[in-house]
Amino acid sequence: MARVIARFGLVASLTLLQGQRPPANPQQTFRAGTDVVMVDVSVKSGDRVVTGLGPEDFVLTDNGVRQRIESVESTAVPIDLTLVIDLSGNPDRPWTRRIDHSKVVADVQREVQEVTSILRPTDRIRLLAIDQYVQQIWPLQQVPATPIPRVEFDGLASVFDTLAAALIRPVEPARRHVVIARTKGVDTISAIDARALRGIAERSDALFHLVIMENALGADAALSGFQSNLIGLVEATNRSWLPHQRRLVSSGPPYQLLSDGIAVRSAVETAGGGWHQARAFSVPSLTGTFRETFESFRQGHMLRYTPQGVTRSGWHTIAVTVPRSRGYTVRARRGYGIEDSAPAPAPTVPAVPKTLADLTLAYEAGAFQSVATALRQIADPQRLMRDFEEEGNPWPAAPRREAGFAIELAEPGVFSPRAETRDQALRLLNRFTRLIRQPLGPDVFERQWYYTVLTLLQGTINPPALEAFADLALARFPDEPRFLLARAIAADQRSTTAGASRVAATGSSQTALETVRRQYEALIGMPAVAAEARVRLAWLLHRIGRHDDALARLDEVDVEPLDGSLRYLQHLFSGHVMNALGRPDDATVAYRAARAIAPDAQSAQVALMNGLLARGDRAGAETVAEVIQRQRSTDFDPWWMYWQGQYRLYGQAMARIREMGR
Amino acid sequence: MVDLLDRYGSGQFEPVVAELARVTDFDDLLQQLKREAPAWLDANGPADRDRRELVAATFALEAARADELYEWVWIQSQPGVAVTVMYWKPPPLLIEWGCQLMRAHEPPRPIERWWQLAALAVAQRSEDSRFLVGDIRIGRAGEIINVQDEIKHLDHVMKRFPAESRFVLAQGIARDRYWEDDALTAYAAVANDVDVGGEASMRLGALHVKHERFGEAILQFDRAETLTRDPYVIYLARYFKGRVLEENSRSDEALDEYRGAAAAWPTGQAATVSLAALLFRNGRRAEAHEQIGRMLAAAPNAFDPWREYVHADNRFWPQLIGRLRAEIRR
Repeated sequence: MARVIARFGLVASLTLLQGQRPPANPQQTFRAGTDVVMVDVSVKSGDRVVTGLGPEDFVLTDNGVRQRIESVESTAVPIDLTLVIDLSGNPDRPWTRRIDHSKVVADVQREVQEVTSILRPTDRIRLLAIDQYVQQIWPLQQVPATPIPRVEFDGLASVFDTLAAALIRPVEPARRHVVIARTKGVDTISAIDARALRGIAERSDALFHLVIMENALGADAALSGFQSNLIGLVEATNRSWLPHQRRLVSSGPPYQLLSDGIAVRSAVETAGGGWHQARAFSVPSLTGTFRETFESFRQGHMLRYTPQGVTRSGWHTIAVTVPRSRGYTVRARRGYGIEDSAPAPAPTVPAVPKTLADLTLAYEAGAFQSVATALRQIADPQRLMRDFEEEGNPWPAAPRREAGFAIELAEPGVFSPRAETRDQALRLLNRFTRLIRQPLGPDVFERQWYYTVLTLLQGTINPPALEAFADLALARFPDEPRFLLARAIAADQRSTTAGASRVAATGSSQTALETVRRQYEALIGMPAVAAEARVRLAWLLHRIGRHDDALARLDEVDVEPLDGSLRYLQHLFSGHVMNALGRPDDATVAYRAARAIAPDAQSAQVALMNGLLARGDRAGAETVAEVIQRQRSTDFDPWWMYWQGQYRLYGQAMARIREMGR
Repeated sequence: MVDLLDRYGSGQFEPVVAELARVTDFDDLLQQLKREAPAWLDANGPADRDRRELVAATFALEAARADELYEWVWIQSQPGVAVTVMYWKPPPLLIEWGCQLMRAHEPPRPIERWWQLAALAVAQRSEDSRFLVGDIRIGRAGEIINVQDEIKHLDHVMKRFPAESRFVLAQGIARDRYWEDDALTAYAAVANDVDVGGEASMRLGALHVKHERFGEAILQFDRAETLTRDPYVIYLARYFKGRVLEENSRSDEALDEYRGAAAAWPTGQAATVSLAALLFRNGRRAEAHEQIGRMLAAAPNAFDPWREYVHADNRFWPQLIGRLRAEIRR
């Protein structure tokens, strides 16, 4: 095997090394004194291991350029051993018996313990298992390793995927990585094929040995034959799905190599490892193979050189020979790869996001407020929404986050003075009414998403749009009181924007008002929205001249919990209704109560000032007037948002959506 | 049996499931259920009858699921005869027993939809379509002779819930490996459905891949992305598309698709290994190492949609059984 290390610094890979250097030139050649390549070489004469060779005995070329070997060592380099065992089932058998899980675990434990007993304290081991999934039973750890926990077995076989996972591993410069895999060589579910595995093995830093489990293959074939031919069972009747049937060797003696097996064997040998099949009466085992490999390491040579005259990055083909003794068999890996591209820096979250990329990055980082602020300042929300639709889902694993982001993007759009921008924002939201649906039916997120959209749309005073979305929401959640309230508010907004709020309403507008009244009254039976329905119903009744009824509804609210805005409106409306009923003193008390809840709100102050003036309290009225004049125009007044329905709750609703999308 | 039903009905779900995992003779369990359940259903009077039916039917599903990895059906050939005989093993019979309890109500109760979805999940996990749609070898060698024993569970379900698109999709999935024309028809019927259209398109694409109709396959995979945000569907559509592109030597595009699939379902081993393998072979070792390291460090056997592709709605089992158990607790 070959590994490259930096002389100055403890590095695990060339990628890390890159961080200490100026930007790389792809055509840069090795600089003397910076990189060292180490190559494990095993030399045999027949079956005899040749030891004691020196630098002058070897000739080594790197991409065809002869290199000066600086040293040859026979040191006991620590080993990182990856054992791969095959626990997959027999894909050809029609049925299976129950297999005792503890027995499987005990068998694996026993076999693996035989291997770990050979390892030294400085060595490490990890254990992977082939089954339907690639299983890492032990991560890399020092021996003695922990007992084997639960393993999955008897499933489909992911042979190629598991071997790839074993081989694709960075190797620490001062250690050797050895992969010893024992498999039946029948792959039924891997994502990659033998050709891809060969490509990986050829470029891996690991020494790779593969042991074919011929006995198990024979047992599988015998079981299938027994069940199919003698019992007459046909087909695999409990596991009938076999995406692939890729074999390294034939299913029966003499277990000939098939095309996939030829590819993998070639890769194994290219990487300096071995392919182990039964020879005569000798059946290779995991332990035996490792023992042999271990011995070979102990008696091998490690060549060290600093590459000269070759391009640093890319694949390096190595050839090692011992010219003076042509009868020797020299085994070493045939190359190594160096990645010379600097890793892309992690994108930073911009303080003021402007582009869609900025905004998604900031949103993902949880910078919601800066995203919301930036979106409200963006000049062309249409383009942003178009980009969002064209570029696709930025968070495919987090669809809730995307659905929340869609509302954020749509928000400036639905308030836009441009009709086409508003339409585009509504189309965006409409598209997401499909995309938020969960496979099995409506869920809590969908409910919250609709609620948030409805609170937003109430703020736009666009009754047709609000009604359309309320209908969509109610189709999914027919009894949701907040959605029913949104529809009632839409009808109320429609009646007002159509001019129906005047007492002398036309016949059609009276019908519209009657519809709104019925909707609010129906909601009084629903505790979640009853209080707000009463306040809104009261204002409607007042508008159509039914002041006594209005006052009765407002009085009912006294005992109900309300948010500050609604409590303020209850008192403000009470004042207005009492004035209409000729009870100015009571009205003044009500206005004062409203003012106590929202001292900076102008509507109660103005009403109070007018009331005092009407009663002849000019001094009192002037005092209130001075207070009003001192107030800032930015002070919040719940009355100003009355017609925007539950838009006052949009911030809270959106915060919940953001939380659910994390 | 009565004790198990009582305990299951009182909310001791996990202990009962653990007990079922130790049962070795499910034939006996099924016979006990048939024998003792009728009296148990009525033991608490008519007011509790509906709930008890749900308890018994859901218990039957749990039992079927505990046994289905070991036995489902035997298909036995007859010497010298081209036809075969089918012997159901306990799991499908347990489901059918529960289904009969559910079907006794007209019109179907809302909870039956959830039970039928859960039953479908168990049946799809078995990998055997005979229970759902009947003989898969009809008209071919090995055709089943004892047709009177067929259950065709999906036929029952479709009669109960004709508008449920997930059951139409299940018709396609059940026929996918055997009767592709029928599967295509079923997928096409729900290709625009708001709930299952994305999955139908993805599975349609996979069927095209099987026949190397790569262009049509890619169209379907792209379409799936416009119809759903279900990460399971997105993962598979991107993974399959990546395979098609890699097969056609479009490695860079394949890399993007694999990367996209891994982003949609980070624990998906198929896309992760495909991505890492391609990166490694292209010399991008650090990223390949990172991908494999992350995959191996993930929870053991974290769900990979490709490795469970044929098990379809079994992915919903935790939600479905949770819904049924919640209804039992009420």
